Amino acid sequence: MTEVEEIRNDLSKLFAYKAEWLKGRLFDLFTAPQYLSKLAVDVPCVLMGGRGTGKTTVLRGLSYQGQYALSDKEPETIRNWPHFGFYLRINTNRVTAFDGPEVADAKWQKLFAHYVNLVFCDLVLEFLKWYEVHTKQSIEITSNSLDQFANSLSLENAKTLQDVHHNISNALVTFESYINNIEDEPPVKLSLQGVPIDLLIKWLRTTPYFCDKQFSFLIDEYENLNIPQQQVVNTLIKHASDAYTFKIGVRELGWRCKTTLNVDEQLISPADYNLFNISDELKSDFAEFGEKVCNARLKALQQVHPNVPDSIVDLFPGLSISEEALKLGVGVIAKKIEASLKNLSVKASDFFASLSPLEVFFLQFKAEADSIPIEDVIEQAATDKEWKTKFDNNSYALLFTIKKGKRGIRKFYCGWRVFALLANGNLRYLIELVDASISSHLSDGRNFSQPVSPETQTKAAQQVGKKNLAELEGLSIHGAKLTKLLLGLGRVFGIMAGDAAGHAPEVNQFEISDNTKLEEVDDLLNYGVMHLALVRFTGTKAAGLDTKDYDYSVHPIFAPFFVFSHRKKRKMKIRGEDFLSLVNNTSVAIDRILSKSQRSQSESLPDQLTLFENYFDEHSK
Amino acid sequence: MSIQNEPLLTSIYEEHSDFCPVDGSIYLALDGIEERSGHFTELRRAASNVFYFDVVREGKSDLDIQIPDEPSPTTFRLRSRKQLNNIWERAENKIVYLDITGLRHHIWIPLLRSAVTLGLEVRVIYVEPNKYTPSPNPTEGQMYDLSERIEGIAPIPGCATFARTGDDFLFLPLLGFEGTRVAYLIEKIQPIDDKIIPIVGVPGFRPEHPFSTYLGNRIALQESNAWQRVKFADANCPFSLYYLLEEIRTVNSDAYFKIAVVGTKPHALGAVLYTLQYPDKSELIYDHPIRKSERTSGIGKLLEYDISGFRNG
Repeated sequence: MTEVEEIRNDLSKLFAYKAEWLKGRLFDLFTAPQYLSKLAVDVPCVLMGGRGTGKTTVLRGLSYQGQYALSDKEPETIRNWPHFGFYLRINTNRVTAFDGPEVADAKWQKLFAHYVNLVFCDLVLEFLKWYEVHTKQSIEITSNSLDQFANSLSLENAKTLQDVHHNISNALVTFESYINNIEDEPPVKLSLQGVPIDLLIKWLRTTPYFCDKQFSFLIDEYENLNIPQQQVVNTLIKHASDAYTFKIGVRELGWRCKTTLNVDEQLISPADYNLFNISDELKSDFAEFGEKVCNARLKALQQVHPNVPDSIVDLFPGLSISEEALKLGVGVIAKKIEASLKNLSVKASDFFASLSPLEVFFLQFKAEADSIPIEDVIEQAATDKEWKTKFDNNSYALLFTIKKGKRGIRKFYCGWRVFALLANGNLRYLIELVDASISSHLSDGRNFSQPVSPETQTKAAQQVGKKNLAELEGLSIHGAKLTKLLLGLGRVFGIMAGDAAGHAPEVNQFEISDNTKLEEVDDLLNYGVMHLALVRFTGTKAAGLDTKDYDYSVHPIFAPFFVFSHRKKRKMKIRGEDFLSLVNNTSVAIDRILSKSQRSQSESLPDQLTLFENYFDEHSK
Repeated sequence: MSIQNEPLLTSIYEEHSDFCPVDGSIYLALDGIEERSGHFTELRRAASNVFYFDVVREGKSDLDIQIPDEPSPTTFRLRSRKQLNNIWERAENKIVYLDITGLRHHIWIPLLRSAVTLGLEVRVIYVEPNKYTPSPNPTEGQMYDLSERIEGIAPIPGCATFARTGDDFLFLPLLGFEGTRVAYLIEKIQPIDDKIIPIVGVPGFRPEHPFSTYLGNRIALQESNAWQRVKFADANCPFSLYYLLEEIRTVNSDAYFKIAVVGTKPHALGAVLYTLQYPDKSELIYDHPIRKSERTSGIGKLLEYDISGFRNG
C-alpha cells in the first residue's frame, strides 16, 4: 500500500460516519455537543433528529459503558458518577413480534408492557453485575426485596441478584415460546406496567451505593415502535417514579403517538419532557461543532501521519461570489458583451466601465428577461439608484446561469460554511463531505500542504449527493418512492435555477397548495422528512400541526447533485396531484410544474445526472 | 471436516417430470404465481397414490390448505404448533414432501419446523426457474424485476426470538440480486462493518448469476466494506450453506448469527436448518417482500433435499 493509500485508508476509518462503524473508537473521538449538559437533567428528554445527527452517539455517551470509556476507564471514578444510563436500541425484529390477528390490540399492548418490564429489568441487573465487577463492591439485597421484585414478574424465588438475573433470562425464553405459539399456549402471568422497574430502582435507591444517584433508560430508535407500543412507553415516561427517567432518541416524525395508555392523556413539552430538535440545537454553532468533531479525528490521524494538519477548516477554502463567477467563465462572457455594445451615452459608458464582469453579465440577464436591447438596460441602470441592490439580490442566483446547459461544473459548492449548510445539521453528511473531498484530493496526487480545490470539493459534494440518492432506496420500505420523488423535485429545482431570467431568484422550497389526495400526500411528505429526502420548516400559516402547514425543500445535501441553491430562499406552490405524479409519472409532472412558470425541460442534464437520462426519458413516454 | 467429506443429501432431476414422490406420502405445495410452481399440477396427474395438500391461500399469519377428501379448505394458524402439527399427522407412512418452490418464506419455514420437530421423514422439493425477468428500468440494486415492495422486517411466524444481542453479533446476508433489500437490512440491523459476512451463491443457478449478485449488491458491499469478507456456497444446496455457517461458527466461536434470508430458497433452507440446530445462537432476518407475478419464467431442475437424512446423519 502506498503512503497515500494508507492515509486514505486510515482517514476513511476515522471518518466513518456511522456511530456503529467506529466500534471501540466511538468514545475516543467523542465530541460533546453543547446541548449535552442540558440532557443530563433529571427530566425526560426527547432527542429528535434525522439519521446521522448524532443521537446514537449522544445516548451511548450517556450510558454507563459510555461514561466509563469517557472517564478513561478508571474504575475508581464510577462510585462518584451522579448518573447511570441504560442504553437500549429498539430492535425491529423483536418488537414486530407483538402484532397480528391472533389476539386483540389491547392484549398485545399488555404483552408488550410485560416484555418491556423484563427487558428493562434485565438491563438494570446487567448493569449491577458490571458495577460489582468494576468497583469490586458486592451489592447485597434483602430477601424481602428480592421476593417482592421476583413476584412482580412472576419469577421463581431467588436468593441472589445473579439468580434473579438468570430467572429473567429464562422468563424471556418462556415468553418467546408463548408468543411463537400464542394460538395454543396457556396464558402467561403478565406483570403490571412499570411495577417491576419501579420496585427494582426503588430498592437500588435504598442501598448506600445508589441512594443519591439518578438512573435513566436511554431508548434509541423509538420510531421502530408501533403506536400501541409507543403508548406503553409513553405511559412509563409520564408516570415514572422520581428515581429514574427516560432519554429518547427518535427520528423526526417517528414519534407517531404522544398519548399514554389513557388516550385522553398526552405527553406535553415542557411539562412532561424536554424536546431537543438536534438541527435546531446545533443550528447556530453547527459549523463550529462539526469543526471540533473533524479536528478530533484529524488529531487521531496525526498520530500515524504527522503531516496531517490541525485544522479542518483550513483545508476547505470557499469562494466569494465574484471569484466563483470568474471561475465559471463570466470574464469571457463580459468581454464578448463589451465588444458587442453600440451607441452608449457617455454616462452609460462610464457606468459600464465601472462594472465587474458579473455585473455586466447581470445586465445581459436583465436584457434577456425583459426582451429589450442591452444598451437600453445599461442606460436605465446608469441612472437607477436601486441598481446595486437589484444586483446584490440576484448575484448569487446568477451563478447558476453562467454555465447553463454546458459541460463540466455548472456551480461550485465549496468552503467550510457551505459544507455545513449542505449538511443541514447532520454530522454524518458533513463527515461524508469531508471524507470524500480529502480522499479525492489525495488520490489526485496532492497533499495536506495544499487546501482542497473548489473543483475537488464540488465534485465530492456531487458524489455525496449521488451516493445518498442511491442509498435512499434501501433506507426504508418507502425507499423506491422517495428516490423517484427526489429525482423529480431535484430536476425541477435544477431547471428553475439554471433558467432564472425573468423569474424570482433561488426558488428552492415548496408548499402543497390544495387538498388533493391529502392522506397520500401527507404520507409521502412525512416519509420524505423522516428519511432526509426532504426538510420541512414551519410555514407562514399559523397552526403548525398539519403536514400542509409546513414548507418543504429537498435536503440541501442533494443540491450539488441537481445543481440548485442550498440556501433557504423562496418557495413555490405545488398541487398535491402533481406532487404525487412526481413519483408515478415523473417527466409529465415535471413538465406540468415547470409550465406554471413558463419553463420547460429543454435544458440538457448536468454531467452527473446523465446516468438518469433513461429514467427521465422513460417517464416522459 | 471439509465439505468434500460431508454428506450431501440432494437428488437432482434435470427433468422435473422424472421425479416421483413415494406412495402414501403427503406432498404439500402451492401452485403459485410463477410458471415453475406449475410442475405441481403435472405431478398430481402423474403420481396418484400421494396425498396432495394444496395450499390455496397464504395469509400473513395463517394459510388455507385444501386437504384431500375434505369439502373445503382448512385454515391453519402459523403461530400454533398444535395446528401445524395437525397437518402432518395425517401422513400414513410418515414421509412428507414440502415443496417450497411457490411458497413464501413466512409459510414454508413454520411448516418445515413443525414437520421436523415431529420427527417425520421430511423431504424438501425446490424447482429452479429457467430465468429471472430482467427489470425494464434496471438500476444498480435492482436488475431483475422480482419484488413489488417489502413490508419490512418482522419475525417469521413462530420464529421470533427475544435474545438480547448487543452489538456483538455477526450479520450474514445470503445475497440475492436485490441489493436495495440488503441495504435496507444493514440500515435497520446496524451491524458493525467488520461483522458482516455476505454469502454469494456460487455456482449460481446459471453461470452469470454470481456476477449479477455482485453488481446488484455493489453499493451495500462497498459502503460497508463487506466485499472483503464474502463467502461462497452452492446456490442450490442448503447443505453447503449449512456447512459454511458451521465453518464460520468455528472461526467465530460463540458468535451470535443474524442470518438474512434474501437470496435463494435453498440458501434460506440451509439457514433454517442452522437456526434449528442453534436456536440460542442464531436468528433469521426477513423483510417480507411482495413478489411480482412474472418474476421468473420456465421450469428448470428439480431438487429433492433429504432433510431428515441430513439432520439424523
